[in-house]
Amino acid sequence: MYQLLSIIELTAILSFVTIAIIFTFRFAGFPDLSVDGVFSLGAITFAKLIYLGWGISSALAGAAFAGLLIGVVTAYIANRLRINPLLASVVILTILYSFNLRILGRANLPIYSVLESAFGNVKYRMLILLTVSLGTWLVIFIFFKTEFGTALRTTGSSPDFLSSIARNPNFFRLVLVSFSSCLIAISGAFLALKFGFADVSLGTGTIIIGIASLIIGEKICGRDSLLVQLLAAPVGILIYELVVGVAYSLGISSIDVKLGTGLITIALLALNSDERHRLLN
Amino acid sequence: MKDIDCLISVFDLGIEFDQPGDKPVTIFKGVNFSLAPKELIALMGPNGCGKTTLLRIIAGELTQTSGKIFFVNQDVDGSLVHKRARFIGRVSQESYKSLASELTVEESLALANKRNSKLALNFPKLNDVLDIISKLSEKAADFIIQRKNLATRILSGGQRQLLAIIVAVLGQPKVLLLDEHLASLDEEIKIVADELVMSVVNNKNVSVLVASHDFKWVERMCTKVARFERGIVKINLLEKNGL
Repeated sequence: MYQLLSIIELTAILSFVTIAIIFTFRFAGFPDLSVDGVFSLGAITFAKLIYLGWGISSALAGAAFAGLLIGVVTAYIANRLRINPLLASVVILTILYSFNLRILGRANLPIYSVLESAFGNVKYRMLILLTVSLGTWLVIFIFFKTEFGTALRTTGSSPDFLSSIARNPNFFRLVLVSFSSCLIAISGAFLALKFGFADVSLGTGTIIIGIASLIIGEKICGRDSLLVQLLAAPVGILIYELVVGVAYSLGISSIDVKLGTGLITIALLALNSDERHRLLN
Repeated sequence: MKDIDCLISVFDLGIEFDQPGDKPVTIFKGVNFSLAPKELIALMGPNGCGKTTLLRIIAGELTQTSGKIFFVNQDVDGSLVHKRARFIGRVSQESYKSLASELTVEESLALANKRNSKLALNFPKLNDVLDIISKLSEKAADFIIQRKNLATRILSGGQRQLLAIIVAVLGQPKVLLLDEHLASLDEEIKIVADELVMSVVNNKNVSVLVASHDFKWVERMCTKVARFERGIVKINLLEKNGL
């Protein structure tokens, strides 16, 4: 039962990452590889702010703002210097490693004792998390149905259409990448909240989990409408977490989980050449 | 001197393309003309003479090697494509390719209608746009009503081209740049497209610069003709009766 609750909790947390990957890879046509660093940044900023005596809501807002800022920088570098998004985001990922260590000031920062008083009850914590996740999902869905959101969705696939209706595709790319990084940082902060600590390697492999779950979710839900596109995120991550949960129960070491995730992702991409093309073009 | 009555004025415009290990190729140079409100100027000449290149320079997609372009009395040097698009509605032979395939017809038109205003946090709605389209062409409005909920990718090439033309006339552009926009259309859709273009010219004072090989169409629709000839760099504007 506890494992199932943990899977639901992780699904709620990591759905943010998968949705963020939809923003960059699908809507913006901007394959942002800085996900792992931004995820750690969110966790570290949150933990540090809690450690410094901030409240949970303001620490979450601080983590979200840090992510937003990194997204702006990543997109700005790519747009302004005309650097390939892959390269721009890898550069940011590298910079974030040092940046995260500087913020943290040590290898890891436990915040369990601080959080225990606020979230002594796991069910209470889950209720808040699920409410926030569902609320965020709904806000995102409604936003992308509006005129502005509809135009944002066409950024990657139809920049010529945007230009023809007098909109700047580069600005729209910046908005999407910033939103994406903001969500990833929130996800990292929630994970730090769940685990009660943050460290620089917390985000390692997050992008692969996000991409794998996105492919799984899209295989099940499809991509024909915004609704199913956004539903693919929680569905994909839930299935991913269930598979990982089963793997754990079969005795697979946690050390090997990321190896397994990587191999599954390679297999999914190998089975679907269109997917490779869509993800990287 | 620029003519402030003209929507677009082009002075001494020229463009060259670099060739690796060879001299640059001059596509045209010394081009001068003005486009007055409600004027339709046809660009005619053989393939490769620079008609599309001229339209792309005016739209901001290419930068000229020499000369100046003014929109009304504003020098548009360095102005990007999306900024010029507030002034210009543009249709090329393959414009349908640049429609957003994931959007519905309704969403595409609602966004296009916001060319000169801010995108809001409202849901895109067709009603206001439909009024505008039906005043321009009832047939175009019927075409839209029947297909409003379809994704643009489901439409045929000709239908998407007509949609691209409707997108170009929405949002109060001052000038239309049309590049062989009727080339792939059947007769029925051509009639609707002509109705839309003539409607914005007559009712909204829009001007048109159109590249075409169809002399009969040009004679029927346009007020002036600019002749392009391979290797000849000067464009002479002629009254169509003088051809």
